[in-house]
Amino acid sequence: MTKTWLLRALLLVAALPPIVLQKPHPRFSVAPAILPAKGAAPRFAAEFLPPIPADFVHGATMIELPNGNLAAAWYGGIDEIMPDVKIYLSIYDQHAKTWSVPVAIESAEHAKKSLGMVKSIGNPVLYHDRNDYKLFFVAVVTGGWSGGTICMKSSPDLVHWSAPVHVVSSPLFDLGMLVRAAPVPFDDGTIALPIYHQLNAKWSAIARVDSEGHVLDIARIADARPLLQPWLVMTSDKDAVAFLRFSHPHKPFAVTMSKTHDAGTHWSDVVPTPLVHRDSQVSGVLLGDHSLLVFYNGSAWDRRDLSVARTTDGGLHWSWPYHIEHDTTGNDIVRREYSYPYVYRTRDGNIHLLYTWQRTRIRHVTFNEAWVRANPTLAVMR
Amino acid sequence: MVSAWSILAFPSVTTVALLLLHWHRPRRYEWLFPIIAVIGIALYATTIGGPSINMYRLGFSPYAPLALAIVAALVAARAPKIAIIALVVIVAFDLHLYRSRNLFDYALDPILVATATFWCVRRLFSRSFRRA
Repeated sequence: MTKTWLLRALLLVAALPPIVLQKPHPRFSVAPAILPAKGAAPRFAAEFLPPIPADFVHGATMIELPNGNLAAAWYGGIDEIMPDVKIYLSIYDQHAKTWSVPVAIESAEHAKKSLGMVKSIGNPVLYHDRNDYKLFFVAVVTGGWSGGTICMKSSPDLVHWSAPVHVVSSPLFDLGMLVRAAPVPFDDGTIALPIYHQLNAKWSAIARVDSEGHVLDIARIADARPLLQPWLVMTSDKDAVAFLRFSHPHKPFAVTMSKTHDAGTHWSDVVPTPLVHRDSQVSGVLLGDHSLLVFYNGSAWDRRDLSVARTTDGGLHWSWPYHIEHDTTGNDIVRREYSYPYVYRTRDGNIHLLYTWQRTRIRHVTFNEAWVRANPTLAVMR
Repeated sequence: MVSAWSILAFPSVTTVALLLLHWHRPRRYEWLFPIIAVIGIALYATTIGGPSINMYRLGFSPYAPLALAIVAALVAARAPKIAIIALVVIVAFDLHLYRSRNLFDYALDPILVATATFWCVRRLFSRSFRRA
């Protein structure tokens, strides 16, 4: 009898530390407001990122470094989910105005040494926090993307990288979870990492991840429709909007959105926007006037059109789309696809957009808020 | 080593403990299999089945170990070794022995759930055939 009570006491004592050590759910860490320079002239420029020794590229990501330079990463190889795929990194020198020669920072072969089974890799996501640089990416273990798992490695200088580790986010062999969109910082140093699941059912969620890549919570965005690749836009320390890809193979629908008012603990019902699209990634950014820009493939059937639309009232009314790419060429020998927009706003107020250009190059578009305000298509809400 | 959670390669604490117990006393703890099967199937079904129910999220709650401790304390008199397994699961979770911070990953794994489910199905079929 005494042993039983001792065992019971031990059980209760062992269960106490998580309760005693728990902290309140953090809020989003809001960066100082970036106000557009008064009197700035509209600016819009486009360029290609440097080529890599591969025919196929996709899935670019970007961060700003503390010195104002930019770092971009993307993956390339023969094709998606092929064993030769590598993740490449290039640095933009703001003084020399040049991109460095891309360097491979991860490969399936290298990842395999630390992670075990890895067939291919992809979907890099760069992030910089108070500790170091992080690279989240997907390691495909078996089959296609639905056999993927989220991994992370870190670096103090973007040159020397730690061995990759699993970001454990699923109880089922940690499979089916993927990452693609930019993380958002919490005020306690943890990260709101947009993730999605596509093993059988497709759904999206926001994971709270600590700086070592441990998942502390997963809040799903509940909706029966196949919604993937949530893109978070933080609008205050408690409020954010998630824009979602409608991932149906045949049926066109619209860019959808969900909101949180408690820093990602709970998410509202998903509502459609008037932005027609089908099965392609979406991204968004908050401007200094609190309007939102959303980048998406504005076509119900393909990825030949890459557009941006603006809303000034949190998604109730939208401008007409402005076409960044609009390819009506009949020639289908090359993949006429302009997809996977990844938008990033730097501290100088400029907006940088990276996207896949015909699956052969990564395109970099830079513009400022003066260009947005001067653009007649984006100025009028409908 | 224990921090290197690796796909298809790392068993839950419960699996290790049950294997050790089974080595000494086969069939003694088979009553646990239906419980493992039901909870495991529910967990995996809500993971790959759709977003409306997020059962896995319960495992991140700081109160999840307390819930397991209360259930284990209730069965401690009749099944002390099962309560000890629960205690080891909770301590492993407290010490962050795996990369996961979710109690379900310490208590269950797909191989254990599959084994438990297989045992339940086989038991059901063998009873049905005996009756027939």
